[in-house]
Amino acid sequence: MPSSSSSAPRPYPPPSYIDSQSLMQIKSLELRAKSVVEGLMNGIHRSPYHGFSVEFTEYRQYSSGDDLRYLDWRLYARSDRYYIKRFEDETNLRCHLIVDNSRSMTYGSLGYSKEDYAKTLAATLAYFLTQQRDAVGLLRFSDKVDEFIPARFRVGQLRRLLTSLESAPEGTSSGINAALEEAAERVRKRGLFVVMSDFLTNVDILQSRLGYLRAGGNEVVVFQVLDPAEMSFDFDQPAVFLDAETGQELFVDPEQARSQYQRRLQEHLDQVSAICDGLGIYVSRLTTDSPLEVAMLDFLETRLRVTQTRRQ
Amino acid sequence: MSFLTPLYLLAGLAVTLPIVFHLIRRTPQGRQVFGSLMFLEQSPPRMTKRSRLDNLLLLLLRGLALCLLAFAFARPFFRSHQESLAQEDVGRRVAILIDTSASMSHTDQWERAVEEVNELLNSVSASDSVSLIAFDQQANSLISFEDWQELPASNRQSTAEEKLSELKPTQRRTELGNALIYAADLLAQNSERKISRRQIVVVSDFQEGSHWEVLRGYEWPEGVEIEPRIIELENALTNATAHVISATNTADKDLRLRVQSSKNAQSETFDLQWDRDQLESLEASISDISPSKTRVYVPPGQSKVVRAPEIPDGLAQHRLLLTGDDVEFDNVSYVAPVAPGNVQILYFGDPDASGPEGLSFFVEPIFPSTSTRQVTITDWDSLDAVPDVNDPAITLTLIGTNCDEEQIHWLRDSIQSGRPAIFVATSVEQGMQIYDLLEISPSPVTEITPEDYAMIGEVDLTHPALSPFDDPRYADFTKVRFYGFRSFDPNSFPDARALLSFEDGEPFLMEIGNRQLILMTAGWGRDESDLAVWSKFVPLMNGLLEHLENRVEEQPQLYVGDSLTPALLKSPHSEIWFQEPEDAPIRVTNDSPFVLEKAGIGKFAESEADLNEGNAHEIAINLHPDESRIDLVAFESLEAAGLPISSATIALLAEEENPESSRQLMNRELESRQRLWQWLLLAALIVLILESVISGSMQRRSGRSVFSTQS
Repeated sequence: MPSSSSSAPRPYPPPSYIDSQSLMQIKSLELRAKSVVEGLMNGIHRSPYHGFSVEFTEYRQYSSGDDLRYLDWRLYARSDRYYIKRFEDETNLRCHLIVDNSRSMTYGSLGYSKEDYAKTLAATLAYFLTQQRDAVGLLRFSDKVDEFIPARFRVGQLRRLLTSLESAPEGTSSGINAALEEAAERVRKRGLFVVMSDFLTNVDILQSRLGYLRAGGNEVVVFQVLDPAEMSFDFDQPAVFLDAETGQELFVDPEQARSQYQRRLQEHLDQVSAICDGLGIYVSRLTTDSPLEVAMLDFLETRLRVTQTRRQ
Repeated sequence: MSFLTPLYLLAGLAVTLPIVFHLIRRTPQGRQVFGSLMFLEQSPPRMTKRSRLDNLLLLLLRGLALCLLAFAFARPFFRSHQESLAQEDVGRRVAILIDTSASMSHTDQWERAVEEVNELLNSVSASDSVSLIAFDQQANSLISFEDWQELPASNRQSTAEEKLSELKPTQRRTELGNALIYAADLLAQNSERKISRRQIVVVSDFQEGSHWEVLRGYEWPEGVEIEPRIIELENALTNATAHVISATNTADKDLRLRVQSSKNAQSETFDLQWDRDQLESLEASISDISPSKTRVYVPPGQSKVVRAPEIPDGLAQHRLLLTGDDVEFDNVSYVAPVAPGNVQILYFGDPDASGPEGLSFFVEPIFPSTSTRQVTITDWDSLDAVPDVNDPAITLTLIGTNCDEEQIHWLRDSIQSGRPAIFVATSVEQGMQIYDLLEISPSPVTEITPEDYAMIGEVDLTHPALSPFDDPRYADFTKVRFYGFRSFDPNSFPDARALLSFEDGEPFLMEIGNRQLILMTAGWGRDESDLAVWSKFVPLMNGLLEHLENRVEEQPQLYVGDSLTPALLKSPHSEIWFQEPEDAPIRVTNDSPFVLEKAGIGKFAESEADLNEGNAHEIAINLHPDESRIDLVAFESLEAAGLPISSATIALLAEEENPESSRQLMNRELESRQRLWQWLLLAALIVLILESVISGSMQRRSGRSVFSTQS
């Protein structure tokens, strides 16, 4: 069963994780990704989540009934044990990272924006997956698809992805529905889609667009990236609020508007969760102050569950 | 309670401002970019319960301060019955100045001025205080403020009109500045009565030559207004006047005059003519071919110096008439002819010395006859008989030789009788005779013969005879050389004054006592000194002659209004008798000067008897030239000098009579006395300080909390 996220506080991360604010001080996106991934990998060996990675989940001993075509004979020759080689097929994952590049993602109250966070997350995933020898692609969108890089596993792919991620956003509003639709059309082979967006948009047709992806047999993981201020709305001074996407201005007294805002936001989040739950999509809601390792662990956990589910 | 300026109360509406400010306290402090506004709605600015409670005190204080300020500006006052009664006494204090100078005598100007003053007197109310002041060269108070107050209200106007009717324009010049200062000082004085307004009303022709310039240095008292009532001349009248430049004598055919024309003159041609008898015959006497008439062309605003026409024989009164202009009061100029004086010098000289080495060679050239004097030099030896020692015809004796007994006797009497003498010591023996003449014990006289020559070392330039040389250009006495002179014992003449001394201190020229004797220790013979060819010698000797003779060559120009004293007339006497034209003679001393009132030919003499016997000197008294400058003064200049001149006179007077205006006036007085606004301002200030203190402390507290929130 696909699992959904909850907004309840997590028992982890432990304090050893790299603080997001410190991480965002690193200018190079690649370096950020490496820092997260390597930190995580070091941690994995010590962590109780040992074996959650793609590679480790795909090695298993031969049992009767298994297809002998997938038996790893080279390993058998060395260890005299039967291991099913099936993992190669399974680990040749085709993952497309769908990153929201719209103006609403430029908001950030911590000195960096949601976009920075999402990009770092995307870069981390790309780096991690490339390390795992998986094919990674990228689709950046704003009001339209800004760039699409098909999933490949080859030399220079990671560099290409990182370069694309570092490029400046082009559009203004968020066209997530169009982007999902186009992704479903362009990617013919089944694979994994990781969507990173704030989903602060009209969700009326989100269900159908996500449904396209799922209908193609794809796995979809959604990271909903939000700023802590967007969650809490803890401004203390009345001010003219300017919509980052539309440029609309609104005088708002936070004290008055807070409760109504939080209520409406929660409704919206619930709607997104409901849609994803209905489609069997795992949603991880991340605030930009949460460590990226959490997102990575969420991702790995999801993968593990998917694999286990499939295996069952 | 009432308000002087109730409109200021409207400013009290500003009290709404703090309320509005408190209401909009939560207006946007800035702009905030936000991810998406899809969950937000516009918030109307409104007061939260919390902010209202927190700032209520500040709101109250700010509102109170504004109300107090508005209240103070509205100038409140309490109108009590007692004070209202007191205010009934409030009135104006008006000094009415009426010009009585000579220029006011033209045509009907004086009548118009009197009419104007009467009109002013009609307009004053019972509470007003008026002073009537006539002015020309000096201000003369006809009715003072005190007199006015003492008079019964019903008699005030009639008394003033009576005083006015006795008044006539004089021939004096105008001193507007002094008159204004006099009136302003009067008005600036404190009064027991309450005064709503201090005002000087000037009824005058405001002529250009009215001498207002003294006001430039005068600090005009605050609150004293000037209201000019201009008695204007009819449009652009031509006025010309002729002034004698210098006094002259009857023989002088070249009497020079300055003819001046007014700026607005329409005519440029004027005639000058001696008045033979009376003015009535003027018409008949004027003809273009008359030798006693001169035609002169003077453009407007300019002046020209011309020769007066020839003085006809037998002219008793020297009145020079100018015709051709429209203004008559200044058309007559008086000229006092001065008869040339006869100077007879009795010379006691060496009859044998005829060359330049003797004194007599140069005596006549030293004392030449001039236009003002006829000099006769008579040698004693040429006289047939011994002259009377008291003969007034002999002016001076000049002694330059050894005199015989008869001569010494005569001279001694002459000196004792006060006749001046010049004693020239040409030798030691002759010099010794001075002791005989003065009847004093003789002292030795020494002949001094310097090695090369002696020069003048000291000069007493303070002496009247030498004072003309008191100028760096003429004060050089080093050019003349003396080859010998006589030294007298200085103790012989204790009352002597050395006018010129040689370089070794020996006197050359001495004035001895009050006996009118001049002693020269060297002669002007060419073998004794270079005096005869010295450029200063003739002026020096003539100066001595004038000094000894007490003769005044030229009398000063006298104008109506001048204070006449013997000193002014350069008279040696401290007392003279003076007779104004058509007036009785009066005694004038330096301590009791006589102010000239009439233009014409005045007479003065040393005694009343001389005056009656016809031995008097004549002197011309004319109108002051400035009085002829009758163009209207530039009021801009007066205002620029700081005079508060108001023009809307009639409107103001009408306003004064309005009951509403008087009520306003009363209110103003009440308010200025109570001065409640000052207390209100003080209260507002205290409230504002309190507000600042409270606001500051609240700000500090809220500042800390904001900081902690942000951190």
